[in-house]
Amino acid sequence: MIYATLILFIPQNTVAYAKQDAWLSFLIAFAGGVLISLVVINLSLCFPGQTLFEYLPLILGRWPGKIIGFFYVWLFIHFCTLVDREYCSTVVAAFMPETPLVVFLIHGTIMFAYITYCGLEVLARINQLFLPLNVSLLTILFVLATPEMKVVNILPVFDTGLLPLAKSTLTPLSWFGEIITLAVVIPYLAEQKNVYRLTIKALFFVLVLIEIATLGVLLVFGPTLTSSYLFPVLSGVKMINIANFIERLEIFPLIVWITSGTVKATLFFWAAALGSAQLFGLKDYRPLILPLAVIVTALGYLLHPSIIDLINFLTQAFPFYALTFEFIIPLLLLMVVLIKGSGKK
Amino acid sequence: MFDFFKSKKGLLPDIQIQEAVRLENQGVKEQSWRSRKLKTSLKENLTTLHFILADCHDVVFREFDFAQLPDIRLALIYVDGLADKIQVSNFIMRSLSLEVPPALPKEYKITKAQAFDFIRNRGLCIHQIGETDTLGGIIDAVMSGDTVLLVDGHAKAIINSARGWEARSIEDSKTEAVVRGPRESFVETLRTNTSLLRRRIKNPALKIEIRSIGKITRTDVAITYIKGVVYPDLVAEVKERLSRIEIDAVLESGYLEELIDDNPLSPFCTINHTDRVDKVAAMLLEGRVAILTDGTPYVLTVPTLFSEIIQSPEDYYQRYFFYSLIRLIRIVTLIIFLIAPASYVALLTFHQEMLPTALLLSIAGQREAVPFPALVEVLIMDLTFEILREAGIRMPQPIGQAVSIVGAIVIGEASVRAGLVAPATVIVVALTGIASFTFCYSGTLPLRLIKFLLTMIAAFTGLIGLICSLIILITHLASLRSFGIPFLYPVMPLSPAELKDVVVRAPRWALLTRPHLLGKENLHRMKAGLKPKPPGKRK
Repeated sequence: MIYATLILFIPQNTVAYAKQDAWLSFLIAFAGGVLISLVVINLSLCFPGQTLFEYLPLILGRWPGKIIGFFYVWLFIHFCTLVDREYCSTVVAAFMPETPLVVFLIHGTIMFAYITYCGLEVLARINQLFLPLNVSLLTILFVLATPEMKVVNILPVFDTGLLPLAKSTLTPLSWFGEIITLAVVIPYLAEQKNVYRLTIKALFFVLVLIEIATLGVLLVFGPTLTSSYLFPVLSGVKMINIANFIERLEIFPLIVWITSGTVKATLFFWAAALGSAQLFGLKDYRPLILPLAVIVTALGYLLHPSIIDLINFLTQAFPFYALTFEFIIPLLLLMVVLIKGSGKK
Repeated sequence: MFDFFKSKKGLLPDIQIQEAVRLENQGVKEQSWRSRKLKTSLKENLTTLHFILADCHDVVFREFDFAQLPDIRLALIYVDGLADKIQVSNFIMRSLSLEVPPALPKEYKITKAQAFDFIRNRGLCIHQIGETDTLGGIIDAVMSGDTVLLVDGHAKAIINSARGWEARSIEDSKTEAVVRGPRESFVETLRTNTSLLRRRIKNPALKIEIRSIGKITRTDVAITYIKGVVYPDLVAEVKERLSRIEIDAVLESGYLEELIDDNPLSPFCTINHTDRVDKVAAMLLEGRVAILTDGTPYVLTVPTLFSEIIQSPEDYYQRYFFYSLIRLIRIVTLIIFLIAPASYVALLTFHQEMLPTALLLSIAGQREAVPFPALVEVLIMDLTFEILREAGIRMPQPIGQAVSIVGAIVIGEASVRAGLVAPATVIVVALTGIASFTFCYSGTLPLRLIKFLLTMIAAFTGLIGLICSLIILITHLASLRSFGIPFLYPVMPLSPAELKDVVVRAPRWALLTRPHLLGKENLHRMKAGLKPKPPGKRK
């Protein structure tokens, strides 16, 4: 079973900071992502066959462990909500402005709830179909957009300075940091030994996809225009017009968005469902799907009043909030484990 | 026979059997007399059998004396119409009541005690005989067309296999036509069907295990597989699932299908059926199990993969270049079939900007006079198409096709003229309808249902809803299993090497292995490197 979260987000805010070097900041974020995943994998391998929620009480003692575990359940619910909301807001803003947001939130939730009900294996399987589909669609779109591209748009390289570059790295880093979900997935992987290789591969894959999208957009629009669009990828695809026949291809990035977003949100949803089941000592997480689905839908609707607010949150607050859970807590946990010497005998 | 029956009318079998039969007739207890042993007295046995077979006027009881030893009385019991009368009279009755076996020495004397063995070994000219000593054995044999011979003084009976009844002859497959390839298809008789299979696979490894299912119908069901190719757990699982069935009747393999399906709540049937002999043989050779049911030409094959919907036996008989193209066309057709009406509705209702301007103007022009929204229009046409198709199937055959074609043209043409639907809608619906005929009929049934659902979803939530529903559909398909094999294999879980027999049809010399999950017992179909080469390069 291959694990690959697919992250395809609006590279807009990164471009806002890093200008034409945005593609570089993803490279740096990738390095950070690898670091985070190494921490998470090492932590998980200390407790083979157990998920994050099972070994937290072992590390910190019963109640503290449960409390931190509860925070992680919240984190996964929140991640899921955010992905759901991002995709729904995009759809509403770009495609169907007259339909209420909640309609799409319900759509999304039905999807993850059903896939979660079918289990992790089914999720992995559909990812096996969507991943090649998305990669080929993105590549095709990139190739089709080449007539509009100008290399001048990403020149000069390394012109922005270190601080903006570092700032621009934070948000993508927090997305790469979503690899924390591995802490829940690892016990279910078929090939435990290859987990390092698989993870690095998956991250690299994500990097390539993001670079395709970012570079494509940057090459077409240049940094100034890119950062002013709400959905630069979508606008980039709108530019494609070949022989007055191949045009209006917006549906394809949308397909990529929905499929990859679904896989991603479902993984978080599954992690939240499994986590809460393990926290409360339930044998099966399926009874929890319905209540969680209601929570996610409601949160998705209530958390942010508008898409501007959502994007502000994602760029300003989210990195610090997310990286605490994605990097700092796992790192502390790993240190505790190493000092206490608990875990694998 | 009638006289005999009258004269014995006053007699009754022993009280236990009477009670058992009575209870059975009341539906209380089921055939508890079945395991009862025969008596030595012919009279008693006949009385019992008469009692059990009361009011079965097609059963013939024929008593006569044995030529060799006239004080031994024999009785034949068979069903008129199921037993071959010529065989019964010439090779059983004639040889027993008239003839002396020619090689018999003069001084050879048959005693009463030897009579049974003598008849068994020397008296009958029947190709296949068996023995039974229970009432159940006799009744089963008689009911399935065998002729039972009872010998006075012996608590045993000889079962003569002299079956011969009216049956449909072997014809072309009605549901899956091919241009090139064998035309034979299965018929209703199980024995004929097994012989058709055996003729294709002349190997003792082809196992045909017969059991009967159905308390009332006692239908024979054959579990067929090739030992050494099939995965043993699969055979065990099929047997296990079949042995769980306790039902009164099995009239068609569909009865079994619904009782052994992995996914009873799914619209998709994860058990395929076919009446093509070559297809079943190919399935067996891939490591599948076939379930043949007496009384129907449709054979179940398990496990079933979704990809079977785009595979036709002919793909393997014709040259691979063109049939690879056909495979690709079928995949495209599958997508068109599923989402064409839905995306048409979605585009017209929500996403007009996605259509090229010229096309949009042309469609808008056509729809100007149409009073309905796109959804209603498409549903009207789709429904009409389904009605015509159903009518075409149910109508008496001679008028069926003509009426359905005329109906389609008249309704399509007239509704456009009348301004009820736009020509573009007719094109979309007709294309979808024609597309459904590209696949094997039964595989398209769930898709036809889902097509309606998708159309409606698309009308309310546009392409977004359509994509979401397709994701749910794919998830559902990915969660299905057929006898343990993932339904979407080899696409999900992805097995890239095996896509060469799904997406395209690779040449015969490249199809080296059986599908990995099915044929793991005996993976290699053929020797590698069989690709024809010019003589100089051969080793």
